[in-house]
Amino acid sequence: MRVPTKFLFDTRQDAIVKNQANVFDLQKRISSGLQIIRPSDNPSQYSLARTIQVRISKISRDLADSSQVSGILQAKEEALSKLSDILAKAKLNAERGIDANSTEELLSLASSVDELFMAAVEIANTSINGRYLFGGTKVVPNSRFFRKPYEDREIIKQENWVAQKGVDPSQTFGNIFNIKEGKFKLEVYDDTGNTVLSKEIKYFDSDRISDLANRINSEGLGLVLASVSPDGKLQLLSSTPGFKFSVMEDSMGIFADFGGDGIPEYHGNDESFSVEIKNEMVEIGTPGKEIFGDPSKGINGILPTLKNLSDILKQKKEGNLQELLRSAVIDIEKAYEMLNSLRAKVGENISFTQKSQDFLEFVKVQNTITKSQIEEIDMASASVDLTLRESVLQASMIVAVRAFEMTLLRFL
Amino acid sequence: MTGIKDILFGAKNGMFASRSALQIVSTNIENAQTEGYTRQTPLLSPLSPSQVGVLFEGAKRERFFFLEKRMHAELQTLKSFEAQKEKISQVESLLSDSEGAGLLNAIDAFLNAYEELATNPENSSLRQNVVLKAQSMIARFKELANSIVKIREDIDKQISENITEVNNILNEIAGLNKKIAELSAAKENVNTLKDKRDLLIRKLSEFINIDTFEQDNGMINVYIREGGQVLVDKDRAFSLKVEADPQNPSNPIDGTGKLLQKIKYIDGRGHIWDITPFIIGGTIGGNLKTRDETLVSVLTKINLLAQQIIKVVGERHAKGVGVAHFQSLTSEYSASDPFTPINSAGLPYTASPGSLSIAIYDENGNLISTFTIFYDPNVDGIANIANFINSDPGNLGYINAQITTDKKLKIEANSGFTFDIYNDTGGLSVSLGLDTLLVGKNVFDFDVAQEFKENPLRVASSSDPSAPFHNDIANLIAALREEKINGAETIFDIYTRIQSEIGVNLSFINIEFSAKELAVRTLEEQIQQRSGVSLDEEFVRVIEFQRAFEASARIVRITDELLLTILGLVGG
Repeated sequence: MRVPTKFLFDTRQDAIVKNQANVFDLQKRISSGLQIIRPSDNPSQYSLARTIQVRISKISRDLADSSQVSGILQAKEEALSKLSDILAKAKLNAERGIDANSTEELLSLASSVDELFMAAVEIANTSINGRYLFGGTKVVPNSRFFRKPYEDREIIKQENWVAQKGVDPSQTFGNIFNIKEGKFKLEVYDDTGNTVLSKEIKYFDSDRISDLANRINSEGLGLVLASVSPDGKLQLLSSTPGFKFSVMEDSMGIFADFGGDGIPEYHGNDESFSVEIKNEMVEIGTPGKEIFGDPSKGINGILPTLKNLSDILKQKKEGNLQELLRSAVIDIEKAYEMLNSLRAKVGENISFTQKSQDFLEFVKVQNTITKSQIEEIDMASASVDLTLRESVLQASMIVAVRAFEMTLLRFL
Repeated sequence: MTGIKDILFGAKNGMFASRSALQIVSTNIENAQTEGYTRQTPLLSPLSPSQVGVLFEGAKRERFFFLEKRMHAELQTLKSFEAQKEKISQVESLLSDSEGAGLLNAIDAFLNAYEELATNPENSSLRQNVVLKAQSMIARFKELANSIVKIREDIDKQISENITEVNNILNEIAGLNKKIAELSAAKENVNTLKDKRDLLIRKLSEFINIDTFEQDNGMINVYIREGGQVLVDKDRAFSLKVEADPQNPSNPIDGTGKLLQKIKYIDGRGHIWDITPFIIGGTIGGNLKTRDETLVSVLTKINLLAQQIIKVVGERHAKGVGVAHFQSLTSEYSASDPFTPINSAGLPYTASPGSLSIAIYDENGNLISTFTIFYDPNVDGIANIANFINSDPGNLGYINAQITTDKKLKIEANSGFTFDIYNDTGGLSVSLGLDTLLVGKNVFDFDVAQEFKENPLRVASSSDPSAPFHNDIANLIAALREEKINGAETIFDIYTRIQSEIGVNLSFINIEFSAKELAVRTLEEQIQQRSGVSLDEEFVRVIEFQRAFEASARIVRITDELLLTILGLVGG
């Protein structure tokens, strides 16, 4: 075989360049720590690594969600636990009421129940990070329209009602409440409970408290008499003995500011708010009316039960006191059962969330390991390989030098 | 009988032949590193039997014509793969996500933003985050598409430059053909010219797929190997040119409005032929293949993915409401005619018969009314849709729909009201680009709709207009992560398939390139073994011819001595 001089030079040069490229390529992989940098390095493995990368991202998101959900569920469980205590105390008060010997003792128990009622209302309005635990999909208000799930106590079937708080009679509603327009429903019932009037009454930003009283007087057809005290308290009075009135669905909630009476109107909604974790929907926001009650819908619950107990203890209810109290105890036990049922559900969700977190952590680690095995370089074998490639490069350089030295020119 | 004079004559021929041969050897040594140089060997032959001595007949080029033809063919394939490798590597880098900054990560971040919103719909900054992540995803999409178009433009530019070089080479070959024929006729040595021409043919093979045919007079004709068009006919060169072909816009989706460059052949009568399909080898062939197949394929798939995302996200988004609503809303796309059915009105996405609900809010944001219109996009034009909205009994003067001068649907709320579109069941919103978060006819005009950039609180998370902080719509969009949007693949599957296809393609090209590189090197070695200059060998020849010259000179001296001897005898 003839070995032309240029051929000798070219082949040696090619060999050196190729070996240099091999060393450079491996150095690049070692410095990046990856054996698969580009899709063409190993198309199927690259694709698999990307799929795992997306999976890890989803797991990380689920972990963040489950951590947040877990916190909310713990708070919910705590709230339900407090409710449980409230019901237990209410039941005790009812049982004490059965054995009570005096009106003072009953009123004292009623006062205690009222406090429990207020505590229950507070729990019903619990919110975490802007989300109500018992408001369905309802969130913390950012305008008057979005009100707490349990506020704006309705004036339900009263003969006489006086606002607990007064407003400045000289100021307009626009100034006091920062509203433009609102409305509420005024209903009047005869002594047999039949509705004799149902009227939607509007109020405006330019109104003063006296304008509202005048509007009620004219729209209420004289069945309800409205007046304002010098300190700005609205007073409503049924003009016909035995007739009662209700004020409901106050769109801007000004009656809430006056301080209503009765059971708070439910402003939450009926949809439960759930967060997806590990392809399962975990309920966070529960519609509260099933457990706290919604008097406007006739749904009984903890709040009507407590209110009823308070009214019984205050002897506002007609009938045998002991019988009424025994009935109230039964109602409390029913509310307790509902509560326990919800606590079980919440407990189940807490357990699921915690197990999910453990599982997701495990899966994330496994996926990360798999991705690492696919993508990352084995430093030990890469270092050995680099040494080998460097040796081959050196050898090719030595061979080139020797080959170039072996020329007849030197001997002539 | 041979006389002394004949011996002297023979010695003289021998010296002359040795000196000529040494000249050839010397040329070989001097050109040992010259590219394209072919080793020459002196052609020596004995004189006729009646004469004494050796005749220097000339220099023979040591070539393997058959191997060189094979070499040209392999070189054309090698250069084609080399060009494809270079450009597809660039595409691969664009598609790569290993650094965590690619499109895959951007899509992932967008869906994550929706998932985060689904967990905390009451957090208004998360709606802003959805818009930001959508913009980031869109920026990656556009960057990718525009970079592919840039590679395409670079290829067109390179093709244009290469064709200029090809034309120069063809002219040079034709010129050399002429000189070779003339000098050969005059029995001159044309080896150097032939080397130069062979080198040009080799260079030509690096650009395009050609074949050659050598004629008796030493001229070489050059053809396009696949199409048969003559590029060089004896001493005449035909030219190629690059021209954008308005009749044949191969890639209408590139968004640049630029037409693809075509390669045209101008024949002897001045007729112009499109020979682009025949150029399959060399750098130009490889670049054409990359441009017309790989880039078009990737761009089409990226475009399709963008359209699929616009459609599926839009369809879901249009089922929900945001926490801020619209005073005025204009569709993104113009219909060709307001009365032409929507599916025939040149809109980018088609719809199915369905219904669309509109929620009306008072100035305090209280939901006061909802109503639903029903449509059939195969029958109704956008004018009908406007009419349905205006005449619906539920629309008590709250909103007014009209057709703009650029044939878009515009809905405006009357003073004191705002509105939102939701529960679109047939995809009308996507078809018109109405209340869809993402808009765009293709990847190049992909964008977040202006109304959501202006107020991200309009981003929908809830299907219930009375509970805008619900999360069912956000969940629905976040669920796209695992849904097979084309029936078989998720968004991520589609993108990793595009990456994988490019990876497989490049991996194949790398293998083929290496194989061809080896083949070319082997052929080069075989050719070099015959045609290359070995300095050692040439030095041996130097000695050989030097000694031959010395031997001939000694014969002259010996003959001279013989003559002196004879003269001495005669002279006594």
